[in-house]
Amino acid sequence: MPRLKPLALHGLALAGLLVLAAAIATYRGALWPFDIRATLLMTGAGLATVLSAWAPLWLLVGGVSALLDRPGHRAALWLITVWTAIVLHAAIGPLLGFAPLPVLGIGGLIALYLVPAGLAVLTGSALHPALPRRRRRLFA
Amino acid sequence: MTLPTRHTRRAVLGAGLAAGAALAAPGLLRAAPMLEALTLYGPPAGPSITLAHAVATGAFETIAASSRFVAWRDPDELRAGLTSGTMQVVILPANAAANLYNRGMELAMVNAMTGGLNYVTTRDPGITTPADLAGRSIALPFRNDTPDILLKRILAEAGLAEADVTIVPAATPIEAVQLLLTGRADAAVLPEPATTMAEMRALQAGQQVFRAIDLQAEWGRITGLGPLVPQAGLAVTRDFDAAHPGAVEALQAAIAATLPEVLANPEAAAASATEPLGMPAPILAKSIPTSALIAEPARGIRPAFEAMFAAVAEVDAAAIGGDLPDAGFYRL
Repeated sequence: MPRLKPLALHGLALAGLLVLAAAIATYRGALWPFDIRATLLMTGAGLATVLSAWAPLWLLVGGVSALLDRPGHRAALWLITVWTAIVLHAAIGPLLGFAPLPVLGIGGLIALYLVPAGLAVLTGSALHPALPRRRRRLFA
Repeated sequence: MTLPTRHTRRAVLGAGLAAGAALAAPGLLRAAPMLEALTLYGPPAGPSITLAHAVATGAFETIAASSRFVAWRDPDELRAGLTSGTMQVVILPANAAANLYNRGMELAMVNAMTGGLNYVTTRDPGITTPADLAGRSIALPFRNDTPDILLKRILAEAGLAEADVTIVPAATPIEAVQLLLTGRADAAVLPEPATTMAEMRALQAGQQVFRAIDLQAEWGRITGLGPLVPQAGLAVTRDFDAAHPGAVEALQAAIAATLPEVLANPEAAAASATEPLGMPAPILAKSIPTSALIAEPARGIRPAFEAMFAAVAEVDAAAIGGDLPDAGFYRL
């Protein structure tokens, strides 16, 4: 029973992130009149592209998140990851097929990386209990 | 002086009858619909939006007591529907209509519902003209269909041979979008609404795609007929036409009256079309301004039809049934 609570919390957080991704996709894409099929298609396509293009970054962030003990630290990691992704995008994004920073703007980039970064942190958090206790305390 | 008011039974009955007649007058004066029920068919693509919206807004009320729009999903379904007589009023590719007409099917083209909706889309802003496609890979759905033939002619006009580009075949426009967005092709020849979908998906992924070349505009430069490629239009069977005199003219009038509403309010038109076409409303709405939706009577743009048929026939005459269709093909 005690193990169910963290599981439920992670499920809730995942659902929240996906709803946030759908809301961002609908707003940024001006997906009117609202149609759940269009929202799901655009959200899925956007997330899949960003997650696969920056896969090493998300793996690294997931690993660090798994080693952290406190939710506050993970929240800080989320913000740091978003800004790291923005810096990386500005530096090498166009080489990977992304639009340059001046085209997307900082707001556009935050919207682009907010949810993928959150998913990476959340995945690490979900894996945290599975780590050996000694490693779990590395960053505590 | 006051006038006496006497509410006799006769006076009340007379007044009631007069009021009833006055209320019913518009209905009595209105001609009865020509048909009990009208089913219109079309592909799940841009030109069908106008028909679906016309049905949803009751534009065919004077023609039929009830009307509905049904999408056909593949050429086999279309051919079977026409052959069996199930489909009597249908939007179809002009090449297919010419082919069926030349093979003896009793049908006629009423109008063109699009002036062409194909674009060369790319992620490279350096590609802006057909000549820029030299040495590039191009994702292309529907080999040997109208867009392929137009592309070949446009490339030839720019001094490029087929060997100067690498064609990446795609089974569907959606697959071509995927090839473009994943960088497996430098460009893609896409119809609407696939072009709009590519733009929308790119935006969500932080990418950029550009409508580099408008095939209609390039084709218009070659033919001197303006940016008009009447790829698809409404056709009716001779049986339908003979059984319902005046219905074809009334259909065309209703469609022409609906078109401005579609162009002025794409969101409403998309909401009407999303269910029958089975496509998401936002994609349909955003594709309307670039789908060159028209409702031009076929006879008036016969030269544009023939220029397109001639180009197709040069590559594969069988695609239009061997020769240009005669005057009987153009109903209005």
